[in-house]
Amino acid sequence: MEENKEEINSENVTQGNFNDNLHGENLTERAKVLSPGMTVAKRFFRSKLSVIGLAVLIILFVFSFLGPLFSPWSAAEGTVKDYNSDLIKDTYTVFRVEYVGADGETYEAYDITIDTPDYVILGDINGSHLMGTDSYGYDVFTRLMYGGRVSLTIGFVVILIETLLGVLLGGLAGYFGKWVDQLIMRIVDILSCIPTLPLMLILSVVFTNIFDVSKLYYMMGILCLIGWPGTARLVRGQILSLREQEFMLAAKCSGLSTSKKIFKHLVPNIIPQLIVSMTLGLGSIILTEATLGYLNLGAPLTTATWGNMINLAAQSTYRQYYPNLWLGAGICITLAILAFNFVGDGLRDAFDPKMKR
Amino acid sequence: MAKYIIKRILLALLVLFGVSIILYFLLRMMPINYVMEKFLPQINQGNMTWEDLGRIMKLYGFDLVMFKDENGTMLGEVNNSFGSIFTGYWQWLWNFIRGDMGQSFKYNEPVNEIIASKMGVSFGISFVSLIFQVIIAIPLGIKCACNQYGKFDYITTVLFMTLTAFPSFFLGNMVIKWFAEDLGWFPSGRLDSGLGLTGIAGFGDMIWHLILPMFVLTILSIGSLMRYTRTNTLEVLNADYIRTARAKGLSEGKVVYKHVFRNTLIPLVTVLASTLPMLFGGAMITETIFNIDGIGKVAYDALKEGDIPLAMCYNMFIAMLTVIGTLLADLMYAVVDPRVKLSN
Repeated sequence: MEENKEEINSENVTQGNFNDNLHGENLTERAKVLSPGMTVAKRFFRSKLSVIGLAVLIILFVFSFLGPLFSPWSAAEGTVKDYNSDLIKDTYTVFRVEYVGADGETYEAYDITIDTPDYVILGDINGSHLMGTDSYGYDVFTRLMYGGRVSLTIGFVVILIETLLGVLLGGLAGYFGKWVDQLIMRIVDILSCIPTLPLMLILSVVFTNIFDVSKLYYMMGILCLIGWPGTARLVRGQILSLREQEFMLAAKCSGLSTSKKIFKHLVPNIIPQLIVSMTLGLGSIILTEATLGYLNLGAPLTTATWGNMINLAAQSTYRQYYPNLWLGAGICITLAILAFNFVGDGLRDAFDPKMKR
Repeated sequence: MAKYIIKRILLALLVLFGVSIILYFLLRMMPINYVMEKFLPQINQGNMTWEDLGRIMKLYGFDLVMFKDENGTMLGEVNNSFGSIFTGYWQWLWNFIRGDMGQSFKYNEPVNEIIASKMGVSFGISFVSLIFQVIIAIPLGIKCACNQYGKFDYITTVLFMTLTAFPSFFLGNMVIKWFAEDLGWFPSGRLDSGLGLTGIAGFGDMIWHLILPMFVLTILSIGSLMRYTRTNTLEVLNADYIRTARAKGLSEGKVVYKHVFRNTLIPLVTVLASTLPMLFGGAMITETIFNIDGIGKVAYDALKEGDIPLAMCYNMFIAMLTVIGTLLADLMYAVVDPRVKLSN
């Protein structure tokens, strides 16, 4: 708060003095008052790391969501795009020979060469394939873009649902207390006590018999179910302290309904913390998705995701001789996690300068 | 204090009970069954009937349902109705309470013996890596905090955040590719060269094999410890007693080593207590990548193949360590810092 005031004052003075001399206007009319959102944005952009993180994120998003539009190759279904489909048809070259055999008769012989299409399996890096091609002949660079689409979308969908669940249950626990609190918090305890990786492994094995894209939705569901306890804990803790404050008494006096009190008066007060935890959580969801992909337990293998691409590294041939197939995916995952961490840290400092870490 | 501990332990028991229910039901819902997979070839060859299998499955605590398909061939599948799973769970729980963890389907040995025998390696790796983390991260964290926003602080923080962002499988495979396969400095996995070396030579051989996994584990978790130390040190540096120490004319070195350092250690103790599951539970992915026969890899295989007793025991072991870790962290906090009072 104090920092906020100072900012306004300093601008008052500099702008005011300048304008006073020119027009003789009232100081307060010329003062630029920053809204809380603007203050946060200003603090956020002051930190170099968060700006770098944001830039990396924008680049990754443009790369994955707009990149495929400019690529001549396709990776989603593993086929070459339609206008390249003439490439995929086999072509035949027929070579006819006539010769006279040992018995004096003339024979015709045909030598048929089948030219397999123009895609290269495990091709080298060259002008048209910036990162070579994989063992099915798909362009790795394009697959990386499509992979980013899936990985980033999963991250966003999961974090949104997870936060909603967490806010709802954590809010109920914090507001009502007593047995509601006991019940919800014990569930939270249980869920956060189960080791995450083994749980994910078991659940993915449960869903191994699903081979189509619907497995992705199941995966998102699982990630949400595992993720909400953290948010619920955060929300509950905040609400426990907020509900004792005066504005809640005022809300009670004005006879608001319970749901209004929770979702209009309590929850907006924890949105800064929620945004920070969501940003930081995005990185860990992308990591979990990639881990499952690496262990061959994530999205169906035909779908390009960063995790599915990096699981090639588990096979020593690919690991040793074709780093171009998996190195890119690994770098993308690392960059995404790092960028989300930078942005999350930046947001935390911007929202609450006293908590500066 | 005693009342607090007893209450916490009772709550922990409740939590563990819930954990075991969820885990058992999920494990039974897996579409694979180790026992059935093992005996199916014999049935297909005609060396065994479904009734025989049913009797064997009963011994393992499963219920086999036999039915005929449209061609009239006998088929069987595990009865995964709620009642059957519940009976299985009850059986497991009763044995577990009496201290009988069951026999592994795969190894045919008592599960607790398997876990005990595989834990040594995992503990060794994690412990050495933890020591390295503490030695490197804590001094660096304090140094960063003392020069907050300086060049050293920026470079170290960014570097360590980058290291933390690496996924374990990516870092592990890169390290194997560069240091083991390309440069050939270290072996790419396993515990020994298989030459039957003993004594000091054997120990050296093992260390040589474990350097890369230890390196990966250290790199992966060093960042968070460093950042935690930095944050805490910053808090301590802003405290009044540090101002007093400076005001009474202590040298900067004395302020840092005698006052800041010691107070920084208080929250760190709690962090170290919560590394307990990691310390004993092994690193699943790192061990799998490096093909180390530790508890993490054994558990990973058990989970994938549906070796239910082993998977259950491992997960309960980790859950218990987590519960003990958090309890220990809270208690340690009160022990190290007398100002903290434990309450209900």
